[in-house]
Amino acid sequence: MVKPKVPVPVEFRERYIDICDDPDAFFESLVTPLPRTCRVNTHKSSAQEVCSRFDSYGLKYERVPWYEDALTTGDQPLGSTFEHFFGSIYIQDLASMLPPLVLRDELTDAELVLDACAAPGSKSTQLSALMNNRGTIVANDNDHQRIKALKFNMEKTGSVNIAITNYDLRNFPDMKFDVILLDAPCSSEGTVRKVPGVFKWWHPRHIYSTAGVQRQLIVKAFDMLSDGGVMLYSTCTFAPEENEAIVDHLLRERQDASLEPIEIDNFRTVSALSSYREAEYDERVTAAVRVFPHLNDTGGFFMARIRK
Amino acid sequence: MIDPCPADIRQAVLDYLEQRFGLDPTLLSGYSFWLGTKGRVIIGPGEIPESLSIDTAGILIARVANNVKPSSNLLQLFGRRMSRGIIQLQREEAHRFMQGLDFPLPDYVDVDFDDGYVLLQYLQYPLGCGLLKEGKIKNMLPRAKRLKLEYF
Repeated sequence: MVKPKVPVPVEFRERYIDICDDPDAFFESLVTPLPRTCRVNTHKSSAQEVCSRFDSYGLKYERVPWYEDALTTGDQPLGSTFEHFFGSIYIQDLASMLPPLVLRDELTDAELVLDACAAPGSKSTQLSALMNNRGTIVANDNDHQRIKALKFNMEKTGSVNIAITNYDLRNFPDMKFDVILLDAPCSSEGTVRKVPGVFKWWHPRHIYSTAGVQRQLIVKAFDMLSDGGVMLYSTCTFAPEENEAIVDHLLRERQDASLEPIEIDNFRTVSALSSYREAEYDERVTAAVRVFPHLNDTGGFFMARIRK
Repeated sequence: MIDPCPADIRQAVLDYLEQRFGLDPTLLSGYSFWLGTKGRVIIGPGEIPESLSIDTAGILIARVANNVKPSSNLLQLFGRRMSRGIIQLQREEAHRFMQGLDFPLPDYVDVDFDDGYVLLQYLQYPLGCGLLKEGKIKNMLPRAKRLKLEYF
């Protein structure tokens, strides 16, 4: 049964009508369900092996042009496949596969990696796969309940190189990491295609309340980065107050922070904003990218690649 | 919370896995060993900073009490590197296993090892752990992993 669409709130339209070139396509995409997608867990199988199994029982899929381990399967469910049982696929939104992918080159040699807000573990287990189970990933989350899902996914995928911690990041012990992923808690606007209820409770006050925490988290995470290390700050929201403004805050607070360009072959991104309403951002912020749902048929996302 | 695994327990697990399944212990030598509650032996990253308070790590590989019971997650991850203690299932029994059911040892299976824990395999896929006892296979798959499959 097709779920009734939850319309885009008027105030949401007003906030974002000027942040992309094609607002009609943008708003329409937000009320269109996401395709079912998965990531091949290379700890258990190769993409070729999974595709050949899907072929054998006639399950239709398409390879994702920008990530060799990602598949879309349209509206066909994946939860009752052998591959799901065996852990050779991990059901995951395409947009959430982006942050580990953007860190891929650094992961090859990294010894100590922090996934700062890790539960339920989609990105931690992807980092683990990209590191081929070597090195150490510290997967931290301050929500003890959500850590249960992280544990389950770590076990199921065979991600041996993960250690789980349960700190409020702001009180994390002082130490240095080669690579940090800070996928910050946010107002989650970009997940509305998966969770239409987002528009039912959407209100700008959620943006303002999370932005204060994000400013603290980004500075703390940056301070835990080794000299020469790289950090990815990401959110699944469109709100500039949680994205460009947070990166701008870091650049003001830490002189040794610099931004690097993000390019993903066969994937369309848009440069971050240089201003929004009355706010003007440091021009270096525009090296960060926005992921709009209508450009690649994904959820919404924001990413900034930060070097120390 | 987990604690460092005592050396004698670590060795007992490695010896068992080598003797029962032919698993080369050096495949696990790069990982740290931990002991959780109820004799749960866990492997995690090779180097974990000492200043961190760890909730848990990696995967459960075995429970140690009077004997060593290997986990299905261990068998799934390292099963392709195992050479003994393997029962190759055909489709019907494989599906029964994945749903969490027990079943008699199929007639088509020749067993050249003693009763005890076994790796159940379908095609090239190590499915998980069963207990072979007196001609029957008892399902050791955790409830959370059991699944009725449509695409298989």
